Amino acid sequence: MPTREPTIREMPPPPHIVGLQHFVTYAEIDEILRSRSFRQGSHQESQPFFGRSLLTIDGDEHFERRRLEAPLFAKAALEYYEHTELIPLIDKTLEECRDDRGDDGVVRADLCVLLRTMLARIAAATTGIDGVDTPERTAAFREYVEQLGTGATVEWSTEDHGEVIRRILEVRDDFDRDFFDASVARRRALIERFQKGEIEREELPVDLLTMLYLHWNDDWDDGLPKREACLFLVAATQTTTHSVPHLVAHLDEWFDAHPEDRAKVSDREYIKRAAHEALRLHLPSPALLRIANEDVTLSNGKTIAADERVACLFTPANRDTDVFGTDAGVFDPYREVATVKPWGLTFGGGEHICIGRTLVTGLSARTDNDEGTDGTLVNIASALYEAGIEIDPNDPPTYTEASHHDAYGRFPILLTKL
Amino acid sequence: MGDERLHVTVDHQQCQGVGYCERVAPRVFQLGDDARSHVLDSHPPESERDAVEEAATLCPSRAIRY
Repeated sequence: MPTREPTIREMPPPPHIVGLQHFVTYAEIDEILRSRSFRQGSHQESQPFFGRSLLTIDGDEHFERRRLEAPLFAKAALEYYEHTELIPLIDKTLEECRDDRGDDGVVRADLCVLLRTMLARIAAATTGIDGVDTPERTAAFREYVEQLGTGATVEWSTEDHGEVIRRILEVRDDFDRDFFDASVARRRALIERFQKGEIEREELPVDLLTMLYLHWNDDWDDGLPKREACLFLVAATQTTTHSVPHLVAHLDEWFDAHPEDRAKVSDREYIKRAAHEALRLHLPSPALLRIANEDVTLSNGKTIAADERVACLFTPANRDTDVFGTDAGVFDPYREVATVKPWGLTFGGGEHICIGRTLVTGLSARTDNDEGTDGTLVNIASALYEAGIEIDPNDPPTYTEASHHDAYGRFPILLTKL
Repeated sequence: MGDERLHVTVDHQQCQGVGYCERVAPRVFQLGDDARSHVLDSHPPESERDAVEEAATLCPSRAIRY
């Protein structure tokens, strides 16, 4: 039987952070991310895809943009996305797998592709992209989002960065032609009708593009909606696509050592705790950069000069034994974390905490009469275990070679209960 | 019918001290010297409901319950 690669790897720092001062403990990174003495320093090369998006702006501008976009992640919106866009597409995707059984009667799939398909419609719905409806259109959209993700994370690419940017900008032109331009045109026409009093506010779509054009700011350039949309499309899919394969690999290993837990895959709370561990150990964004606005001395005495760019390395911080216990470097779905979120710094910190975090992790109850949501990670993982997901023993998963990210490139699975 | 009166709390372990809550609901939240949000009025009047709801949704760490 082919051997499997290890579930935990030591990843060398990528070239773009070599030479910068590194911060690796939870406490010092938490302090930097919360501090108003720093500004965003990441995504220098990926400006063509993310420039002036929520991810790269600070202070009052960040507050205003976040205030504009926050309703997309209000409880009612999250419930809508989960029940109307996500769960039906999970079911539909698994049905398509069932119909695509091999000659030996076994259902096989690549988990990486399956996940991107399942997340396609929720990404389209939150962003405001129309026409992700047929299997062909969904496949085309899924491919575009994956390519845009390559451009958006170009700093981590193992390929020539200039070539990646050139190639993905061409892909984005095709995406504009096939999906973006028509989606924008429909929304602008609806907004015009609303502004003339022909339709009610409630008849407008609830998505990013509608929000941006409805509340247009003359300081924005015409390309901003495209870059903000790129951020939403990539962010809405990347974390879950990255984390579920790690979750499955870890649980497979865990069940070998703890066979009594195998039956717990139908327990959503168990899956949630396991998913939080996968998020903690395998960060989709393993390092963020910040620039000091002034000379700074941290609580531990370390100093950062004004205008110095520093690297916050989340992988060691999320395995900090002071916060996560002496066995912080290993997967344990029973881990108790008292003082911080169980996924640690995976979604960042301070004002730049990922705005879509609740889409992934779910929203815990906001009021005493509220049930919250489960999020993409638990919904998808639970459906996969219900479908009998197993790692294909004859075709082990392999890590991607196109990026310095700790990500799987192929993850062949069997769905034994379909 | 249950008691629908607002009861506002902030989870101080999750609060990142960003202060957006204070900006949208200044009569209910105040950023303290400890860089944490503090609730000025845990049972604000109904007129503050929209502001509290916006603060809860806008809070980057989702640390507000109401």
